[in-house]
This record gives sequence, structure tokens and C-alpha cells, in this order.
Amino acid sequence: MHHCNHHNEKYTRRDFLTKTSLGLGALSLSSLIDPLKVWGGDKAPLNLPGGDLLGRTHFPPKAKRVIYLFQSGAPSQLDLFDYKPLLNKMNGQELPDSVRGGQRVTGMTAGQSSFPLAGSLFSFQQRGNSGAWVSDLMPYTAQIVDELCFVKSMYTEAINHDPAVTFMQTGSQFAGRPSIGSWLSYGLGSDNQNLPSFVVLVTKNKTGQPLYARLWGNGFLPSEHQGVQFRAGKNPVLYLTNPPGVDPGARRQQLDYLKELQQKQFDELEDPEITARIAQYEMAYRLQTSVPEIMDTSGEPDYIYDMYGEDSRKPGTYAANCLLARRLAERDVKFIQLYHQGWDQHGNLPSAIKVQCKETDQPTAALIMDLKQRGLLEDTLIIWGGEFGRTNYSQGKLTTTNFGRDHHAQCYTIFMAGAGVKKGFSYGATDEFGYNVIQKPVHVHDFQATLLHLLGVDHEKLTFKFQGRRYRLTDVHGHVVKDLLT
Amino acid sequence: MDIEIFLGRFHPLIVHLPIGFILLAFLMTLWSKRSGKKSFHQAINFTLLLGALSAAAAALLGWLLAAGGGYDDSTLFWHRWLGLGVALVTFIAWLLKSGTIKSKPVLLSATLWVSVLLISITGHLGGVLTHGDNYLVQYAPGFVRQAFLPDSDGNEEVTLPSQPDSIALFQHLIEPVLDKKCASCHSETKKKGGLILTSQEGIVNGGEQGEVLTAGNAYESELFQRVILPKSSKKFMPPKGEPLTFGEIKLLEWWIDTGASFDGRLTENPLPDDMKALLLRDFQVDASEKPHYERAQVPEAPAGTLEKLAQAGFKTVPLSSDNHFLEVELVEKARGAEQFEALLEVKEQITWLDVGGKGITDAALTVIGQLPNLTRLRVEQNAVTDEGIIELKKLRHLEYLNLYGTQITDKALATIKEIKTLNNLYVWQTGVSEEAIESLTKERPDLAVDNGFRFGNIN
Repeated sequence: MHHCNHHNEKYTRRDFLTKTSLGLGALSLSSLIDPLKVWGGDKAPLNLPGGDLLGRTHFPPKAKRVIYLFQSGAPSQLDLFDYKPLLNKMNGQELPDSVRGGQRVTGMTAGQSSFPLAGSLFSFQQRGNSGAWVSDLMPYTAQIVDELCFVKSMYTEAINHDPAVTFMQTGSQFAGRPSIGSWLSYGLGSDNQNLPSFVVLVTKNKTGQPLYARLWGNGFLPSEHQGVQFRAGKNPVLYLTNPPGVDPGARRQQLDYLKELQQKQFDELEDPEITARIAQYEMAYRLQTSVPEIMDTSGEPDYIYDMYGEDSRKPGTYAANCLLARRLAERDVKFIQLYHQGWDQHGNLPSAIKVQCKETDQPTAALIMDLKQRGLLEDTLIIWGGEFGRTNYSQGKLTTTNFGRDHHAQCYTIFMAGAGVKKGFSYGATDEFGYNVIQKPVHVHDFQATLLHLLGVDHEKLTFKFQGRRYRLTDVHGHVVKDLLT
Repeated sequence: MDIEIFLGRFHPLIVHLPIGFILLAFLMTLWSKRSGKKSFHQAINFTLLLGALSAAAAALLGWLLAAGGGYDDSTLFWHRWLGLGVALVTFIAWLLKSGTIKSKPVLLSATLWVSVLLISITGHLGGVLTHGDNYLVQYAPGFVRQAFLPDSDGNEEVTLPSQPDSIALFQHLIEPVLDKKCASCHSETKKKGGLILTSQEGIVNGGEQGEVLTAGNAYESELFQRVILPKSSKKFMPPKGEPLTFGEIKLLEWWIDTGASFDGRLTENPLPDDMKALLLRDFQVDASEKPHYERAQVPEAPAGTLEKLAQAGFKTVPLSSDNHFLEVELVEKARGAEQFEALLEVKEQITWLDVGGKGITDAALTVIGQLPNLTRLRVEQNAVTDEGIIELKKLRHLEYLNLYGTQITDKALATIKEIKTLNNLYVWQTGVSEEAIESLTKERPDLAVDNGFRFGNIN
């Protein structure tokens, strides 16, 4: 039904033959072989024929919603969480060939005649009862480490931003696959009929590596599952308000008539995109009341603004978005995705990272603890992290006060908090140079498999058939990292 | 000792000589009979002698190799004696052929056939000893495999119940180890050292030198001590065959340390982390602590009841496709206590209930207190009081209770203290005092109480 060459036909001859003769034949044959496996094993796949969703999880979920705080540009793990005193001791010395082992570096530093190791300029301390290392750049996060689950052994395959972000968000380096939030919207449906199940908030006025709407795109899934971006300012969702002179009653009448027309067209063509469009018009209508209500944070008390930091009073900042994320979580939005750009510090890292941390440290910690005091951390999963790590050697000149770090795919650190993950826990380790993972590596697909697992979904069973084969978020890879789970 | 094993390891090399010699002698005999030529006579004679001598050498080296241990006893027995048989029979064949012993030609023929037959069997058994008994046919066509390995699906593994609660520690985990590693000597028939490990009385009674089991202390128990000795020790058990694996030893230790009960359940004693990891690795048993709704099972909600709940304003979702417990949420402002009566229709099934911020009162809690399998309850942001909380005392499985933004006071904590299963309590923005929370957590260290959060000062 989703093949581009016969999207406008009810059933093609091929569909008919497949579904009747071959379909039934295959069914009876497979039931002869193993009656239990007729429906694909003991757990039914989430998607029913025709792309409808079952709306039930494979096993009881730990998390009912996710807030993904995406730090775009790749924060330097070596200056924040992955403490490597050896780099300070060997500051300025050449990166040993035995450590790099001939692995590729990006085109930006491949031409460098030397790779001087760069120790962090920020001091590290062990924090909380769990003793997690956090540098002085994140004084607020440092206070809540006993709630956090660090994964210090993440690694990826991409070394440039766009493929790497796309890989984290869709499971493929190539554009066009559905984003994690879209998969969940498709597989699990919505818990709130008045809001989209996948909402995106991007910090405004940030520069750096660009973000594209396709990062929260639905790919080949029906288009009602795409992420909906809420913006700061007068029109949180573009084109949502009624034009001047159109009152809500007239809008309703118009939508009802439009729906009739579209239903007629659907009866004729049976293109599922038509139903998706009807659903989206209806959602937009409901959003006309629900979005202004959720974006209006004037009712939040001062102590909440103080908790998230002064920035939270300015719409469009990361802090304001964190506050919105909590409000969306309270209303059971399934997947809330924040993006914060500006972590791509090839040069001037020491000064640039301070700005980034100032913008994000307090709101991130505040969001986690605000959810906790409301009892929502029990079933909300929070993820903080970028698309890859940064190098242990300096890009450009290394001085006593300044250096830069290039892209590094071999290791990086993310942290999670909340539903179903161990708290006050650090998983995996890198070598003493902070170059390679030496213990318990976690691949991007492993991370995604674990994420789906926490939501009660078997990552091997959430599939969608497109262009002749079944696709998954984790493609043909991924293992749930059981050690991270409570 | 070392030199014996060093020499012994030439056995697999040398064994190929008698196989070749004996088959060659056999083939030459057949050929000379068919063709009627006598020209092979000397050659056959010589080859048979070589066959007998090399078979004897192979048998000697094999004996040395076997002394190193680690082979399956019964296979080794047959391989050893049949191998010696080959040497003997071939020697007799040479005696007959060379004319040292006079006899009819038919006797020579028979002896040669026996020799070939014996060397085939012996060779096969040798292969089984080295490579295991399904090596030969492992990749054979299906019907061959079926004929030789009818139970090739590995059914020697004990089938364990999937729920850790249902696993009997002795019957499912210890007994199979004893059967596999000890029973060949310590059974009713063999009784080595007077010890029988195939029956419970036998284990309790011990052997000639007294009891082998000190319940509660593995290191005082002969049964455990013997299996962790250095392998070179004379007292090491089992003296022949495969020693116990690390996992089996840990299981045995855990069983004895926790009282060596014959009918106890695996989960009767809290499992330490290393045992959980071991059970997951060796038996695919996930013994991590599960919430009530994953341990207990309930039937599906009766037909029509979920529609009634929907009419009463409740949204219901089953926890998963194979778990019939329900997650229930009130999705509209509460109309009154009678609307909650609908919940009682599926009271067994409801395990998560969310009525937060919907304007409910103590009257609703009277109904909620009758939901026996409730594990998570969200009542936050409602005008409920200490009186209503008393109704929750009856909840035997409640693990999470969210009361933030309600009108409860310190008095409610006295009730809550009695809910033994509770491990998360939220009382932010209520009348509950810090002192009361402190005294509650002192009595209930397993209970995490959240009363809001404030950052410390940042310099």
C-alpha cells in the first residue's frame, strides 16, 4: 500500500494475489511447521497489516514518555564528564600512534602536522554519593548526579555532524528514515488527543551546525507521526491561528466540509495519506486551544522560574524550553525533543563551552528535579547527549589558555535519568587518553534498542514495510544494554 | 607425570599407522584372493606385522594419554580395551599369515575381518572422545542426523520454569549438577566412599567418613570443599571427567550457604548480584526484582467492562500485549464518588491509577482502597486529606504513591508507614513537616520520600 507506484489504487492485482493465494498458502504452511509461529512468534508485531498500530506495548513499559535534550554540535566529554588526568600530565605532547592506531580523523585535522594532547582547563571533582566525575563547568548538574545514569562508552560511526545527528535520531546516517519520536508515535499512539505525541522545541537564535525538520520527520511512516515544532513567540505552531475575520465557528464548518470531501476521495483512492491529512487537520483544530494554553507559562510561580534560571522567563531559550518540556510531560506528550545548538567547538573551546554550559546546565538539572518532585521522573525518561565526542588532541594551536577539539566518533558520554534506568550509575569506560572505549561499548543502535525497551517495545518487532522490506529503528542491529536497567 | 602426558599426546598421531597398515593388509588379501596371485604374500605378511606393532604402540601411548583424565569414562573403557584387542587380533593374524601357527585359510580371513571391524569401532570411539559424539553427523543430511541424534535439540538441559519464583533451588539447579558430575560414582549401584548423591537421604547421611553437608556453611562442607581443591589434589572431585564449572560451584555454594534445603525456592533468600548475573548468563533466568504486576497474573478484563469505564470518564490501557493488568487514567474532571464505582468492575486488573489534578475527594479514595493489585497511584493536586489516606492502608502491593499538592499532614504518614510495599512517596507542597519525614525514613529506610528540591548555593 505504501509503494510509490500504486499509492492510488485500492488493491493492485499483485496485492490481491499475494494476499489471497500466496498469503493463505504461506499461512497454512507455516502453521503446519509451527502453529505458534503463525503470527510471527510469541509476540505479535506492533503494526497490523495496512500500517495501523496496535497501541499495546510488547512488555510492561518502564517509561511512558521521553524528553530528549539533544546537545547539537557534540559537547566535549573530556571537559565535562570523562575525566582524564593523563591528558593534563601529557599536555602538549604528541598523541601516541599506538593510541590512535591509524583510525581516521576528519578532514579538518587530517592535515595537521602534529596532534598535541590537550588536557582540560577545568577542574573535575567526584560528586554526590555515587562519586560521578563532573567538571566545574556544570555546577548544577553536579548536584544531582545521584539521579543520573552516565554512559561513558558511547560510540558512533559518523564523524560529521549531519550524518551523526541523523544516525542518533533515525538509526541511519542517510536522510529519510523516521525519527525516534515518529517511530514511537506510530507504535504506541498518543496519550493526549489534544496534543501531538511528538513535539520538538529548538533553542532560538543559536548558530552552529544547522538542524533540519527532517530530523524529526516521519520518513516513510504516515505523516501524522512527524514531530511538530513549537516555536517561541506569537505563533508557536506556524499557520495554526485563524486568519483575521475567520471565527472558530466558521473554521469548524470549513473543516467539517473539507473532511467530507476528503472522505469521498479516500473512499475512491484509499490512499492512507488522505486519512493522515484528515487527522492532521483535526489535530490542528484541537491545537488551536491546547497550544496557547501550554505555551502560556505566566501561571508558573517565581520559585519555578528561579529553579530553571533567569533565562526561563525569555521564551525560546533552552531554559524556557525545559520548562515547556515539563508542561508537555505533565500532559502526557509521548516524545519531547529539545535541540540546543552551539557545542561544535573546533577552536576557542574554553570560552565557548562556558557559554553553552551556562545556558544548559541549570535548566537541565532543574527539569530533572522538577519532574522528580512532581513524581513524574518515575515514568519519564530524560536523555542528555550529542551526536559524537570530541578529540583528546587540540585542533589548531594549543596554548596555556586556549585550544579546540575536533570531532571524535570513537567515544562520547551521554547521561539519562528517570524511568527504568539505574540512578547514580556510570557505565563503560574509555582508555586513559580518552580516545577509545575499553570497557562495555554502547553503539548508537544499542542505545536506541535500550530506549525502545524502556518504553515497552521490542526493537526487533516494531517494523514498517516500505519498498519491499521491513524497516526498524535499529535496522538489523542493536542490543538492549540490560546493565543500565533497574 | 609430565613426560607421560607428553608422550601420550603422540597417540592421535600414531593411531593412523595401524589404521593404514591393517586396511592395506586387508585390501591386499582381498586383491590377491580375487586375482589368485601369490605375489602379495610377503608384503601382506610384513604389513600385518607393522600393523600389530604400531597398534601396540598406539595402545601404549593411548594409555598414557588417558591417565591425564578428562574423558568420558564409558567411552574411554571401550576405546581402550577394543584398541588393545586390535593389537592382539592383528598379531594373531600375523602369526597365522606367517605360518607360525598352522591353520585353515578361512581362520586367517575371519581374523582379518575381525581386526578391520575392531579398528573401525575403536577409531570411531577415539573420534568421539576427542570431538564429542555428534561431531561426525552434526552436518549430515537431516534424515541421517535424525537417525543418530534423535534428541539433537539439546534436551539434556533441564527445562526451567520461566518465573524465578517457580524455580526449586535443589530440584532444578543442584540435582542436575550432582547427576551429571557425581552420580557415576556416588549412586546406589557404585557408592564410592559409601556416599550416595542421587538421593536426598544419601546426601544428608554422608559417606564412610561422616557427613558431607554442613547446612549454612559451604566451606565447612566436604561436598563443597572437595570440588574446589586444586585439580592435582588426590581428594579433588570428580577425579575423572569434567570438573564442576565456576557457575555450578557458585550454585552449590549458594545452596549450602542458604541452608541446603531440598524443597526451597530460588527466590526464598534475597539473591546477591553475582548470583543474578550467573542465573541470567547460564540459565537465561532474569531474577532481578520485578514489580508486582510482572510477577502476578490476572485474567483479561471481562467483556464490556472497559466500555463502562470509558463512559465513567476513565481511559484504560493494558500494560502490554500479554499482560492483562490495566493502566487507568481519569481523563475528565471528577463528577462524584459514584463514578468511581465503575473501577470495581475490574478491580483485580487495575494496577496503575492516575486521578491527579481531577478534583477528587476522600470519597473516591474509599473506592480506590478496594483495588487489591494497585501498585502505582497518582492522587496529586487534589483536595484529599488524612482521612482519605486511611483507606489506602488496605493496598497490599502499592509501590508508588503521589500525594504532592494535597491537603495531607503528618498524620497521613502514620498510615503510610504501614504500607510495607511502598518505596516511593511524594509529599511536596503538602502539610507534611520535614521532622515527620525524617522520623518516617528512619523507621522505613526502604521508602524514598520526596518533599521538593532546591539547588545548593553556587559560588
